[in-house]
Amino acid sequence: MHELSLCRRVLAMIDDSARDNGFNSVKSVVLSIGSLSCIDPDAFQFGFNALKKNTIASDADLELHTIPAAAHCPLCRRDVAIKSYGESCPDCGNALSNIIAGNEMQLTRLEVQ
Amino acid sequence: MCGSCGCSDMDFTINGDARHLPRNTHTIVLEKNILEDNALFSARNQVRFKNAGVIALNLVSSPGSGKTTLLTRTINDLKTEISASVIEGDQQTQNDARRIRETGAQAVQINTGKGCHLDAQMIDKAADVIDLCNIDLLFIENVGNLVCPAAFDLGEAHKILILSVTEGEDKPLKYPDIFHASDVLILNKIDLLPYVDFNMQQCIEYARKINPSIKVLPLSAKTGEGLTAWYDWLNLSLIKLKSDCLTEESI
Repeated sequence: MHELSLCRRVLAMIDDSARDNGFNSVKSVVLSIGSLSCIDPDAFQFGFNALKKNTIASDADLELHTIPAAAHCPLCRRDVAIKSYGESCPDCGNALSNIIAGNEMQLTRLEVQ
Repeated sequence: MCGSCGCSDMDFTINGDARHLPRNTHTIVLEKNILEDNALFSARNQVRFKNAGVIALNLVSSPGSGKTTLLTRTINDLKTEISASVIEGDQQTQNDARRIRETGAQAVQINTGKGCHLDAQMIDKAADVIDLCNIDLLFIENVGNLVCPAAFDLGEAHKILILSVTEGEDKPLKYPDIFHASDVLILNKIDLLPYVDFNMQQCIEYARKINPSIKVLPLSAKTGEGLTAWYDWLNLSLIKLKSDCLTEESI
């Protein structure tokens, strides 16, 4: 599963930040994950718990914020909340293919000591 | 109230359980894309391919859709007009690269081991051994997987999705991410239509529901039916690339 490779990437980013900012331990890792993204939250939590051992984040809690998906309807000129690909605008029926939110995979912040 | 010590000094919740941070903690705001590395390599690859006058195409599909057969047929049929090289991605073996090399084209095999998709850094490394300035097309045959390759851009000009008619017409609804990310849908193995319950019209409708602008090309890499439209699309893409380069030079 690629959640493991993404966890490794997050832990490497945390190491980089530790070097840049001079902290010794991480208490909280906050991620913002779009609802359409390829990350499964449970799988990511599982991978993080397995890989964080013996790292600077070994005691860190993982906090996953879900970013709701949205698409822009060019006919109605407004943004529409969506749950998946393939939805239509509730007002005009136009296919909502211009996705403007929901694919984010962001390491948002760290709480550190 | 904090779930650990009972105080009311709450900073955040995890799974509904209020927590407060230990004293002497401070916040580092990063707001960094987890796939930033892949995005950087992808952008770099894109520039590199454009500067070399090469169109890179990322072929994605389930295993067994006929990607390699389509590639060998395409390379052989267009041998006198278009020069191509191939980057092959599989978990193990050199089998597909060997098949491509039998056409006379260069093939670089990447074995991902446990990995389920190619990434942009792998392509960057593979491209180092390809003479990009002397080819027109770089085909990248991704690991057979309809899920993960959708999220990992490689620096390609287009994702080409290959679905065979033996796979079921509702695949666009089941795997929307990859259908949304692809510019072209090749419906392969149409010679088998008389023997399978595949509703082509329904499949195309589903695909266009997910991606209204996706171009659909039904064909058979085995019999050759429908290949002309695929070759026309390739030639048009090359003409467009050359025209874009000329426009930039004249500015």
